[in-house]
Parts: sequence; C-alpha cells; structure tokens
Amino acid sequence: MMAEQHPSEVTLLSYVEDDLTTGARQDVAEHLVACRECAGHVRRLEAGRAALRSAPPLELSDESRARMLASLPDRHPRRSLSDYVRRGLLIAAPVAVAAGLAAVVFTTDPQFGGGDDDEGAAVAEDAGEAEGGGDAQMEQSTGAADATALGTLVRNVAGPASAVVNALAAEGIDAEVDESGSVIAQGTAADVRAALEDRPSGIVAVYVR
Amino acid sequence: MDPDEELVRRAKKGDRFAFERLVAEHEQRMYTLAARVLGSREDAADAVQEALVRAWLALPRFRGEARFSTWLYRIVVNTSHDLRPKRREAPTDELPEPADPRDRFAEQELSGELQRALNALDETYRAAVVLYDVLGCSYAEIAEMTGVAEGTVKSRIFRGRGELAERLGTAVQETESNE
Repeated sequence: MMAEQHPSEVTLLSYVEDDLTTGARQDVAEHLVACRECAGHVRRLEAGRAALRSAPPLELSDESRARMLASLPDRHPRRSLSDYVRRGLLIAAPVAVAAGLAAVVFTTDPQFGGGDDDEGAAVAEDAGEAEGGGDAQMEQSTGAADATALGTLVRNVAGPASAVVNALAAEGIDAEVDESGSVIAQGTAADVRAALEDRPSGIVAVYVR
Repeated sequence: MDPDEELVRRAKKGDRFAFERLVAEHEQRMYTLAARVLGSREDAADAVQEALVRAWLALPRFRGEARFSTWLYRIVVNTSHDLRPKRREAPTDELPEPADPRDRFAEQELSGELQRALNALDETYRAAVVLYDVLGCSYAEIAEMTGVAEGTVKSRIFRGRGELAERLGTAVQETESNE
C-alpha cells in the first residue's frame, strides 16, 4: 500500500499501451490501487490517447494536391538550382558548375532505367564520362559521385542524426544536419567511413563535401 | 517488406507517375501530421508542398534502410518545424481558425478544442503524440523521424498526452475533484 517507488513514466505508458509482461502489469496495477498520483497519470494518459485517436484524418483539397504535384521541379539541377542556392547547399562556383552538369544530365535523362538502385550516382558518373572529365571544378568540390548538392554519399547509418554528428565530432570531423535530416561532413570519405565504422546501418545519409 | 518498395524504385529513376502514386498513398497522413503540428491548414499545405519537393529531389539518395513512409514523414516533421518560426513573425497567419466559411473544406476545420489544446503543447510533445496516436507510428519510427532516443519519445508521449488531457479537462476531475 506504499506509494513510494512510483513506476517510471515509461512503465506507466507501457501499462496503458498494454506493453508489459503479465507480472510487471500486475505490479503496476497493485501500485495504482494504492497511489492516487500514478492512477491520475494513467487516467490522463488514457484520456489524452482517446482525444487524439478521435481526431479525424484531414484531407488536402484536390486543387492543392494538383498544384503541389505540378510544382515538383525537374530532377536535374537546372530547375532546382535556385532552391539549392537559396538553401546555401552549393558551395564553390555553383552557377558555372551546375549549368554544366544540368546540360549533361539533361542529355542523359532518356537513359534512365538501367536497373540501378542508385540513380543519382549513376547519372553523375554518366555525366563524368560524357564530359570526358572536362568539369574538373565539379569533381574537386563534390567528388563527382552524387554531385547535385550535398556531396558524396558515404554511408547510411542509424540515427539520430545528432548522434552521428557527435560521433564524427569525437573523431575531429565537423558535420552538420541538413533540412532533410542528412548529415553533411567536412572531410574525406575514408575518414568519415572510419569514424562511423562501428555504427549500424540506418536512415541517416552521411555525405562528405 | 516495405509496401512502397516497388513504387519507390520506379520513382527514384525519375518516374513521376510512380511518385504521384506514392503521394496519393501518404498525402493524407502527411497533411494530417503537418496540420496537427502547425495548427493551420494553410501552413500545413505549405509544409507538405515543401516536403514533397524535398522528397522528390532527395529520392535518388534514399536507400531503403528505413521504410519510405518513415523517411517521408520525417521530412514533413522537418518542414513543419522550419515553417513555425517564420510564421510566428507573420501575425497575419496566426490563429488560422475558425475557418473561412467560403472555404469549401470548412467542415473539415481542425476540431477546435483538441487543436487548441495541441497548440498549447511544447512542439516536441505535440509532434510525438500526433505521430504516435494520430498517425499510429511506432516508438522506433518516431525516434528515427525526430532524431531522439526511443526513451525520449516515450517520455514526450507521456507528457504530451498528460498535458493534453489536463487542458481538455477530461481526466482531471475524476482524480482530483474530491480532495
């Protein structure tokens, strides 16, 4: 009947969500009989859940949807260049480089469909070959792999992105999280790969530039 | 494994039709997420539009380690977050409810009491409860989307639901009325 040793927040949530084993559930239930404070938490958790789950799904209007789909840029840098520049994602000599890349990607567009699961890299490689290495500036700034804006993809690792940044910082590599949640590191691909060697694969894309 | 895998593969190659079908599959949840987090239909439409552009451009780099939906909703969380400070400085867009009666979707206006209670929550709590209780995402998915540990997600759900219930005044009377 003692109310000290309250179950943790996580345990109370698990109780409400029915995620506890039978024994643990029984322990919490006995505590709740004796503890008004925790019983109040449980009631609020249930009431909050009920209110949220009664919220109806919301629908975009047909007009909004059509407008959004129509506004998607072409997926090559010519059209999206202003986006990249606005977000500060391109670094050195962006206009000349991207204009050159845009022209090349445009000409290779019809070749899409090689069964490759990494189209970005494939296109950029095609671009490099077609250009005969004529775009040294691009290679210098991005490594020419996935050269649209973010740099070269090193690996996709488990998140959260902030932890990836910290892991890189611990190895002396500066990095930041961009707006889509990718990590952009300043350094060589080899260093970054080594720094993240122990990290399992996951959703966070790590780029170097 | 990921029900979207086939369409994602095609969309990555630049197939807009495949991308539109992915959008059709997820737009309701993307929009519901943004609207509940931002408290405004107009802002939500902007957030979803921005998210779709980012998703379309970033799709070639999506490797499929997480489900496509997790990746997509994470972008919506980010675009919604990015939109908030800007909108705060623009008072004309504040407090979008109640609906303009000329809006043909007025009948779908964000349900007043719940949305007001949601708006009053800390943004991180609000995102957590909307993702978990309204969209039905798992703790692990929410952790990936919001960049925090699962334990933090659970704590945010605990606090978000609790505060929400207090603001809605539903659970409180039962527990504290007979002091």
